This record gives sequence, C-alpha cells and structure tokens, in this order.
Amino acid sequence: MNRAVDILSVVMLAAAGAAFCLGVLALGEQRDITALYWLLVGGLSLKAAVDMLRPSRSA
Amino acid sequence: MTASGRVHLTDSKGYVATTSPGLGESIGGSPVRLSLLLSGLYAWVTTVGGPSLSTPGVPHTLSALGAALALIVGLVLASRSPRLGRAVTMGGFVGLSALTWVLLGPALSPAELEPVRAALGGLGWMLFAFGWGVVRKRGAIPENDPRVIAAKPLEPKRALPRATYIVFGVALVGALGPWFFAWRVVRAEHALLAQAAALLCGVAVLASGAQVATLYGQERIRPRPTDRLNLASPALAGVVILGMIGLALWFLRGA
Repeated sequence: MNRAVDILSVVMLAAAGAAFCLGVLALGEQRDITALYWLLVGGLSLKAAVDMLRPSRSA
Repeated sequence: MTASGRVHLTDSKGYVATTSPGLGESIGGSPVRLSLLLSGLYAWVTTVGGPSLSTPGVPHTLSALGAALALIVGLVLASRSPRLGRAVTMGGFVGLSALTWVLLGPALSPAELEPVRAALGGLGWMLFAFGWGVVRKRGAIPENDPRVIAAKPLEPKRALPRATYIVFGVALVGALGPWFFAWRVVRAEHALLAQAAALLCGVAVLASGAQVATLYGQERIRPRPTDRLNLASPALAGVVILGMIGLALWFLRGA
C-alpha cells in the first residue's frame, strides 16, 4: 500500500509539471482564466505530492 | 569543535556523540611535527621575516625574530608537554607575527605588497593551520574512545536507489516544460509575466521534486498509508474539485 501511495505521489508530481505547462501555454493563447486554472491545479498537485511523502513527526 | 577541543558529532535527529582528543594525540607522533615546522617557517619567511628584515627598524625585527623562536621552541615543547607547546606556538608565534605586522605599519600597505608573495604567504598560513589536524589512524573507531559520550550511532552513507534518479528526472522535465513553453508567448505585455510564472513554476517543481525523490521509498520514516493520504487530503480534494469543475465546463462548451 505504501508503494502505491509513493507512485501516486510521483504521478501528482508529473501532473503538476504538466498542469504548469498547460497554464503557461494558455497564457500565451490569451486564455487568462484557463491559465490561472491550470496554475492552481499545478500548485495543489505539487502540494499533494509532497504531503504524501512527508516523514512522520515521531520518526 | 569547542574551545576545549571537544568534537561534537550530531546526526539528523539531534543525537550527539562527543569526543575530546587529548592534545598529545593531536601533536603526537614524531617528536616535532615536521609539517608544522616547515609550513610555519615558510609562512614566517614570506609574510613576517621577509618584510621585517627588509625594513629598517629594531622593534619589528625583534618581534619577527621572537616569532620564529617561539615557533621552534613551541614545537619542541609540544613533544613533551602538548598544552604548553601549543600555547607557546599560538601565543608566541602567531601573536608575535601579528604584532610584527602592526609594527611594520605602512610597509605592509597594499601598494607595497607583492601579490604573488602575499598569496604564497597566505597559502603557508593555511598549511600551518591544517598542520595542527591529525588523520585518524587506520582501523581506529572513534566510538571506542573511552572519552566518547554514548549516543545512537550515525547512519552510514549509502548510494541512492535508482528510483530517486527517475523521480528527479520527472521533476526536471516538469520544471523545464513551463520554461520552454514560456518562450511561445508572443504577446509583449504577457511575455514577461509568462517568463516569471514559468520560472516560479520551475523552481517549485524542482524543489518539490527533489524532496519527493529523496523521500521516495523510505519506509522507515513513514506514517501509515492511510495517514499519508489523510495528510495530503486537503490538496487532493482541491485537485479533484478543480478537475470536476474543469470537466463540467468542458462538457458544457462542447454541448
């Protein structure tokens, strides 16, 4: 199960990179709201990826 | 290292092991440490003796000669009484060298100095400082020292797993992607904004990716899988909600 969460974390990291790419692309195509949307998705994906791998406080 | 010569070794969790090598050990070995004598004399000749003897005057010449004498006496004494030897060398040699420089005054102004000789002199002082160190004997284990304060042993270094490199590669591609696409923005007023946004995104992906890459697969320090998902649940919920909104808008536009 831990391995599955690890893989999900990496998938979220890759998704964040892709979302940021789409955000910047949308900015270039004059779709500012879409750009903001993708940048927000990227930011949240990045946070989820890191939160899933955070060490426990007791360790 | 503290003023008393104790060495504190601290690991990532704050456990501390302390050793206090005796002065005899740091000076020990041969009766006179040749590396200290040679490097000290070299530093003295290039930065103290040379300028002092080539400048007329008695006080600084006496101080310079005293410094050289203190070096030799200190190192000879160190073989019998390490503490006294070190005190004489540090107080006498280094102290009198500093006093000589003060007494020389304008003769040591940057305009008067020869850059190469000054650089070589600096190198000599560096070698002298390093000369006080000592290399651990082959096979010696610091934790076996009777003065060591027992603590959890430090973890040995080990090679990173292959998955770390793969994850970091994903992060690198994710960081370079926005930067690449930012160059496609042709609107002048938005091009700079795109560059700034891409830079910010790239740094964020790279920093988070490095964190993910190093923590990937480390079971020992992990909470339970459900706790991990709970920890990430606010961000995950945000992604899911945004995804659903995006899908709904996409269907509505298509309809």
